[in-house]
Amino acid sequence: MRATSAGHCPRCGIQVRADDLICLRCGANLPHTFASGPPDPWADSAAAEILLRPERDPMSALSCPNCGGEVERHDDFCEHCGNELTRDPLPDPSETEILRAREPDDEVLPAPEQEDENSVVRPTSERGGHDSPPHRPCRPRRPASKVARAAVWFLPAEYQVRYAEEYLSELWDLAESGAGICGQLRYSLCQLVRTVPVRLTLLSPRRRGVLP
Amino acid sequence: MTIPTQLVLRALLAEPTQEMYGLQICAQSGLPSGTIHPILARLEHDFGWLTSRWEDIDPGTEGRPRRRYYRLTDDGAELARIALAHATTSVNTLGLRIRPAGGMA
Repeated sequence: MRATSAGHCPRCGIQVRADDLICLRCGANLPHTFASGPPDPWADSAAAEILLRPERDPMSALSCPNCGGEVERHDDFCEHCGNELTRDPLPDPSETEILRAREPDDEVLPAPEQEDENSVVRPTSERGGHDSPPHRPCRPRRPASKVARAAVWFLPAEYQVRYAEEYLSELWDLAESGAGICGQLRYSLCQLVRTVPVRLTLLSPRRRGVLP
Repeated sequence: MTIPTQLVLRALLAEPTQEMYGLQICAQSGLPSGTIHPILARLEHDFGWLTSRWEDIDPGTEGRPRRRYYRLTDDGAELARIALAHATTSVNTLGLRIRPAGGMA
């Protein structure tokens, strides 16, 4: 039996197991110095069972290639950094399957998506209780992020990535300032309502120097 | 020029050299959050009075998206002052033309 915890993720600082290949929180590749030897996914019976299982859950965890944050398979943009996501899955699907094999009994690191949507978002330091991981700000609530992303769909294609990140950054600021789900949704709905004038402005010819 | 546009311009002109992001401008102008992007898009894209840039951070390291910072250009600040003065004059002129009911004795 391997040790259940033997190090910390070099990117986000969360505690990881000795035989983890990638960090369950941020998706960073982990150095294999935690393990006594090279990781062998087939030595773990649970991982081997999942690897051999033919069906795959469409909601399996993916990570943003830009910031490493967790995203869903159908997301068009990363809700953490606004990066536009392609439809390609992870290059090595076996890594995703190993991740999923360990999630249900993982007491060390509950995934944010497993929390109740109505629960209070707490800083990571309160959730994990492990030795001083770096401070991570409050995340915006998922419904508010989805509405903000819906607002971006109406904008010209060349502006969608920019406004996705800008809207999400403001949602993060709202969440950090203590705004709840209602305040965040109000912000996102404002963006949705105002997306038509923004679109018309972005599509209109420039009128440099003219007084509005 | 609409009142919200005037409020945004006054907020940006309070310290023209300082860059501000969306929620800062909302707080400074007194407008609700999420209401200023059409104005900012118009001032930046349509009239060229604003410039914007991304916050210089690594989102992966910071654990949050980058902010978008806005600042008036030199020409934009000058034109904004003129526009605000013109708007104020228009309001004053309008106020002089409106006389209270009852009129002169």
